[in-house]
Amino acid sequence: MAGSSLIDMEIDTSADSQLQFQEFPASNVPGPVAELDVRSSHTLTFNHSPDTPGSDTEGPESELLRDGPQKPSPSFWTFEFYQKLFDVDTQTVVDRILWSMIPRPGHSYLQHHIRPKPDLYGPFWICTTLIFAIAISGNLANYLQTAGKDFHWKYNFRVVTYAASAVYSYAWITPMVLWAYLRWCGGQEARLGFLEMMCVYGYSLSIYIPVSILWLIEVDWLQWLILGVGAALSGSVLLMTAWPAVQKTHRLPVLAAVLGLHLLLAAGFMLCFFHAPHTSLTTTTTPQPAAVVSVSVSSTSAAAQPQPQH
Amino acid sequence: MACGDGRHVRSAYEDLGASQTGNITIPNAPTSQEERLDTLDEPIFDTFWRDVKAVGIKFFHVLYPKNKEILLKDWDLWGPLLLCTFMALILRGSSDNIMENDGGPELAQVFLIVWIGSIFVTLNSKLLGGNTSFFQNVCVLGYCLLPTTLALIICRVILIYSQNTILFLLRLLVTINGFIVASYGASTILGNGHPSERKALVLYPIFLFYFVISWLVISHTS
Repeated sequence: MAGSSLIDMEIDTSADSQLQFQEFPASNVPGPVAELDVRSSHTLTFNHSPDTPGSDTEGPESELLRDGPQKPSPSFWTFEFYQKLFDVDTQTVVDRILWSMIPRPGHSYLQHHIRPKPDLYGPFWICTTLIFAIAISGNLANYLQTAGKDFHWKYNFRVVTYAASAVYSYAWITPMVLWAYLRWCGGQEARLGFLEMMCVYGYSLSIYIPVSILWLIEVDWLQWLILGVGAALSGSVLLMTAWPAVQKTHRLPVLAAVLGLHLLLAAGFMLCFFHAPHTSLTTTTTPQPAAVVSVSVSSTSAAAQPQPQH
Repeated sequence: MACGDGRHVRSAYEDLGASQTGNITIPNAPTSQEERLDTLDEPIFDTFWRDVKAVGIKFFHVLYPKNKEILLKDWDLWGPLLLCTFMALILRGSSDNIMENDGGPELAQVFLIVWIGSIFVTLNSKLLGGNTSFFQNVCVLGYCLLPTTLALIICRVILIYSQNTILFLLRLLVTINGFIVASYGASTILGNGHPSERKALVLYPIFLFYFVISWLVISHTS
């Protein structure tokens, strides 16, 4: 071979057999031979129902594949994926908000309102509106509590950051945890997709917006009553959504946890931002550890120097 | 090889005996070499003044909306930056008295609210099927902060006097006015590209955005 002086190849003849093609004699195999006949046309049908174990497609995608033309759903990283999640009209959003507040026992909120197209418009903007509703009403409530007294009131912007962390974590983490739990420990009857879960949770927070405005009325028992009614209404919608998906044995603790967290969120807001302080006026009523630390730190520094008068 | 003004430059191929001449003319471009380099050589004042004029024209069109397209056609982010910085400097709370209510937002929080708010409102509009570009949207939302900034300035002036209910109501009126002008301006420019079934979905975040900023304006009391 010309030019083979450049390449020094050593062929190991002992390993020859490893490099040989293995030959299968054509007709030596006794017995029936399985053959795939590729000439006849085969139609492969696959059962794409979401109930089969091991199927990991989410609700909306599987329904799209069943009904509509076979379009590949866009990847998570493209803009079109998110555009699909915002494919709603005003009337749809209004309907979803209304029915998240009014439980109808035989009528599954999920099936009728969310199922074909869950959206992220509602949850995101409801959460954002809720944060600012709580912040604005909370500041207003604080002002009304201290009005008329000899106290220079300054508004508290930190309410926004506290409310934002609470609302966004509730709206994200709780559906994620519940979805994960239902996926791995729950029943097989009704699978709930993650987007649907987030959608239901987001819309269920919508009742707290008028509730937070009503909390401005500074009557103790009325505030608790409004809280109870609000949490009961939207919590029951949440419960009825999660009910069929939970296995019978674990039903009670899981549903109690769902309702309990819902109630806890609202109670937290009420106690932190709206409840009239029974102690002195200068301490804020937030039991948040950050505020407590800052109050204790500043009390030592303020004691050391005279406070400036405004 | 020849440049636009007809100067003849010796090319490499001329050594081989061939000579190439021609004129390269670009429509609407400055015809001479010197004119093209003008913006590099011009005094800084001219450069600065050109940008200031562009920003000023847009401010004018926010307040007197006769030709709204100008905000979309040549967008820039100078106006939003100026307004946002100015508002943030005035709105930030004092940090000396921590025993009482903590006061207003920090400088960075106002920045975050304005810019992240503009980004989310723009994303929302685009996801719902809008046809304006991302930066055009941010530009319009930022420029329409001008009415709220003016309201803030007026409130600040009112706050010089010792406060009573009438002055508070006056401040409230000024702020509400700023909110209405800002949201109306932004919604007429940005709301056009959407079908009527979704218009409310697009306009609501714009209202929320200006509402929050107006709340910051009215709550500023120190």
